[in-house]
Amino acid sequence: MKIRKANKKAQLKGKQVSWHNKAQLKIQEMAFFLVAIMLFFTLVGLFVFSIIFSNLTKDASDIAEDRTLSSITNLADSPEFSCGEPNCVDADKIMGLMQNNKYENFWPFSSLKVLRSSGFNKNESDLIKCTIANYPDCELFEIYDKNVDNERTISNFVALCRVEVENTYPYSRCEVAKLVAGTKLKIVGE
Amino acid sequence: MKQTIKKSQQEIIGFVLIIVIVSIIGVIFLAITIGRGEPSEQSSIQISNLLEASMYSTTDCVVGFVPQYKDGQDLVKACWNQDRCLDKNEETIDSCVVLEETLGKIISESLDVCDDANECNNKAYNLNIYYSPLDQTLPHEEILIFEEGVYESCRSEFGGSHEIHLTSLTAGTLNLELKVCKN
Repeated sequence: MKIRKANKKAQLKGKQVSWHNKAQLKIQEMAFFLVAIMLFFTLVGLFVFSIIFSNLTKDASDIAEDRTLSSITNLADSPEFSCGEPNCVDADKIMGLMQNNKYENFWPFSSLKVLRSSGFNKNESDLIKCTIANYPDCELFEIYDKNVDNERTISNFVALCRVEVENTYPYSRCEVAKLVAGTKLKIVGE
Repeated sequence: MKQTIKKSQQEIIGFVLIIVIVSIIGVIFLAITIGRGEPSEQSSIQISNLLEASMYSTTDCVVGFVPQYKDGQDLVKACWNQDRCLDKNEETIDSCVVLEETLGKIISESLDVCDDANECNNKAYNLNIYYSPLDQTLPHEEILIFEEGVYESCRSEFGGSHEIHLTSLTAGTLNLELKVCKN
């Protein structure tokens, strides 16, 4: 009788162990499956977000650049600079502006310069600054410069025209130049 | 029984490992494919403004007498009409030759083009001038194509264009397209 009881107990124990192992296996399987699913969706999500955000950043920087450039283009077309054609500035008007320091607070730029094509690939220290004495044999028209720290300059190509006389005939001589505007960078916390 | 459990456990671990490895390889492959993709060509306002400004610039091509110089726009039209012009020594010269010299000088000075990546920002440029008739179904007619530097293996490309509207009987537009290859 006792032996029979002991046999039954052992049988029950054996069944319980196998049941327990099976459940553990199922839980393990589920855990691995969840990990795999999560990993898969995280990777897909990362991929989609990287595409969306890379385009957004590019669009934002493009818009910012376009806006700044169009503000300089508008500046070239303003009556103070314009030679009468779009995207064309008058060198004689610039010489006039340089004599008047009231314009420092007229435009929202920290510095404003016009660089002739002869000075495109030169260091700023090597450029010949324009004055009444050396005009037009010069390279840089410095309309004004507030000498601020953390300045970022943006330039745009414009046509620079002035009236010249040859064989007693006056004519308009134009060349490619750069209109360079500086803006003060705003630092967070300042 | 225990052996069977161990075997199936090993199989599951192997399966998960394969999924993880395949996903990682897939992501690396995608990143490389996207990163290596053809450099995108961006349109640049600066390049379009450079072309526009160069159209106003005074050239050495004289019509009739000094100082009746043609500007860039008139020189493009003269090249399209296959006109000749006078140089400063009053000798006749092909207007397309003067156009190539003038525009080439302006562009390479303005865009800082050379082969050395440490010295210059840009590696090469390609300028295409062509006539496009009002009737869009008709093909374009090439006027002048020239380039400086070796236009290949660009880190990025950007470009701009400018249109000159013709008001003569042969109505249409003369187009200038400038592409720049960055070092």
